[in-house]
Amino acid sequence: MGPDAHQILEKRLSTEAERRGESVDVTRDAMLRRGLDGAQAERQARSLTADIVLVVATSTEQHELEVAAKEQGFTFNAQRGRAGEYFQLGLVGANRVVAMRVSMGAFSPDGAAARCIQARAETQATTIILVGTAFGVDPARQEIGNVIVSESVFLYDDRHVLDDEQGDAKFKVVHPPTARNLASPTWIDRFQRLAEQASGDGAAEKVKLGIVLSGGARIESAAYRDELVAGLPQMDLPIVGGEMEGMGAISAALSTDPTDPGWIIVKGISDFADAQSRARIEETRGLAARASARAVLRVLQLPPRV
Amino acid sequence: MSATNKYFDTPPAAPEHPKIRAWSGWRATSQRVELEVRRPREGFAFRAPRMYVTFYAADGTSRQDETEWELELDTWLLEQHVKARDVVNETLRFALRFKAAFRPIAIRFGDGFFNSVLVYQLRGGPLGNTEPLAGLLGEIHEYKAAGGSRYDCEQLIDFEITVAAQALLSLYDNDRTAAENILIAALAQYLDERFHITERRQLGFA
Repeated sequence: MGPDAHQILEKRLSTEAERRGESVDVTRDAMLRRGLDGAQAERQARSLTADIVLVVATSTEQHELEVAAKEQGFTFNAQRGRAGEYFQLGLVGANRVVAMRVSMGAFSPDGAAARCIQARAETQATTIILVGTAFGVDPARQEIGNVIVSESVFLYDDRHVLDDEQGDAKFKVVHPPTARNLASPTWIDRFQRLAEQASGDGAAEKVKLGIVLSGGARIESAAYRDELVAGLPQMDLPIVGGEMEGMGAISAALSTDPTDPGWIIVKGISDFADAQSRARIEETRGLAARASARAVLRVLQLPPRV
Repeated sequence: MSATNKYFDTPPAAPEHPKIRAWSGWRATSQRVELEVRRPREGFAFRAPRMYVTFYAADGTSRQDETEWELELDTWLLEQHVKARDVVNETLRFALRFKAAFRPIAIRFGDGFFNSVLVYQLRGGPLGNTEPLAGLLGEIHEYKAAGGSRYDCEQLIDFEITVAAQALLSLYDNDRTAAENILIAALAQYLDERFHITERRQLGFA
């Protein structure tokens, strides 16, 4: 700093001290402390800046994401943000990536909705990717560990229940158009490329895009699962599975741009929402979570489409 | 093989958007047309934008039509030299146009790469030191993405900004100051929404 700049600062300091009714030394200490606090806050804010926030909901999902990240040479360093804890993966491809854990489901105060809104604001991320486990809907065609990717999410709790005056049933359920929410076209495109690669080069993760159901129910009944799927309107893509956190993340991500929502769900199938497969969940959960984490990390490293 | 086949016999004519078909007729009998884009904020969210187009006839009567905002319709209105009702509305209109224009670039290059190139391009460009863009750029933390695709991405972004600048210049009868102010404000609004600047302030993160 040149002598002129130093003199200007000293002059400002003595004016500030006079206004505060303090000695110059006391004011200097206070300003220095405040300046350092500010610098620290700014440094922390910068280090938490990300393009992508990966969201997991269980300790297994967090662990498997960490394993997959380290396996591919990335970090997984915990860092405290103002809205909660994050895990820094660093630069994955051209994307700065952090991960965070939310409570299961979308209803608790620290569930996906609230945390995703906070995380998006804190990190300036433009995409939220939900990673972890989901249930499959077709045990005959799907396998544990297959990765399902949301072309869109169908919020099955978004429904209008009416008396069935003309039919035989006691009531009928109508799903409004708002129940189906399109995921980010940017990431649909990238996961389609991964799905093509997976079928082409026999990559470890078998990836299938389609409609992912999201709702608050923890389903362990094949009868309910089948009834749920059968009761939905005919759609142009297959339903590939279901999970519980998507509805929260969607409400958070929608606020950026309803026509290009910055979210996508990428989950590994850990069960089929029935008693039989849920009985083996301790064995299958890790496998499914790791498959989804690997698929996401692979996609984040894809080069531009040329 | 059939003697006639409509797919092979005549060159294709792109069907017109039904709204454009209707608006073209109204336009022919109007003295002035005005656009208003409405996109109410709901907490942290926005409702889908809608466009309200009013056709004023010479005899003082008017008719209004409304529909969801679409790039194709907005581009037709631009070609017809239709301005938005005021500067704030014009800014929103061009911010929406930037969203639509930049989306394919983000899809091609990925979020992280596009974010980085966009911010660096704007910071280093001729508008980077102009408010309100300069202030917003100061609140966005970016790293400098490297790689051979950077130049391609820069070119595409520059192209879209130039297209918007030229459209504004034409719309405002070569009033460079008016065009530049709207362009800068529209880019600032786009960045604000993409990087959640207002939201950060509302939640106390900034």
